Amino acid sequence: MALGAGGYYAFSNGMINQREILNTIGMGTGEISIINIADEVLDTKLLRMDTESGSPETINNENIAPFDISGYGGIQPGIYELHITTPSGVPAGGVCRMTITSGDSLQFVAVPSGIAVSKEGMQAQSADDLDMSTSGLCR
Amino acid sequence: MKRKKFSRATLLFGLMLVFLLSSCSFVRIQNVAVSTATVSVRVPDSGKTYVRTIRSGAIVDVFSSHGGSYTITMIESEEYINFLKDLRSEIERKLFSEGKTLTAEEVVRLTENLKQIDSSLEQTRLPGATCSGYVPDFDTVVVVISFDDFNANWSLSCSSGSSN
Repeated sequence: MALGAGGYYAFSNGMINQREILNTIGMGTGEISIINIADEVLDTKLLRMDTESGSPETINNENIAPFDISGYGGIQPGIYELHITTPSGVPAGGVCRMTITSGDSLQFVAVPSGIAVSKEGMQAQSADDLDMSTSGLCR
Repeated sequence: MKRKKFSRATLLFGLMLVFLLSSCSFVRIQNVAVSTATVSVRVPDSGKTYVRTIRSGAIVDVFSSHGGSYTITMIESEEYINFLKDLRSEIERKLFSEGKTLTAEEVVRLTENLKQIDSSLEQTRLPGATCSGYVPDFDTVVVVISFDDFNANWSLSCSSGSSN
């Protein structure tokens, strides 16, 4: 009861939000953060792959200017592809296919030589784990 | 002619999808100052901070998949750019040049640095230049950035929609 009252107090005062509560009980969403430290605009597109129809569904598009940080929040658990491209092909960009579960938080950092990827709560063992083109997070 | 049948699950999924997509909210940020502004934005659906650089006179929309509380804070632009440039050099050198020879310890350190971007951004925030508000589902709220010439201060004005 005290836990419930404490939770209600924290929620009503903005100390915790709906996203954090749902993540805590495993019914939450995932999020992707994209940091553009390359010299060009990144064109990003998030597609859901495990749809009822079997055809990929575009969730949203984001154009991210150099030195801007953007991303996608409130992602329902499922299988997704994140497509990243640039007008000149630098960085090369690519596609990251990933399974999102409740509370997942992935981060992509684009620099001119490539894109680094990491996931909260997961420690990379080698440089390959951090490089989007070789990372096991993008399979 | 054979009519196409929809299963109850398909209908339910469709309705849920419509609901989820249509409950989106936007925080619209308008820069009425004469110079470019850099702001950090916390929208309801993300635990991460987004950053937008907004030219004078420009309007930028930040999307959230649902409504809730949001916060906008001015960022010290030069400090922020320098921080990201340092991070870029580190990633370029360690991950994409020396990647094959990185030790496990260096990989751990690089991963930690990537994970600390959010907390490092906190240090580039301009004290006092912040505001919060509430954006309801299916709605857009407006934030106005201005510069007070008399006091030489950035000023932010956040609007709120009704939560009911």
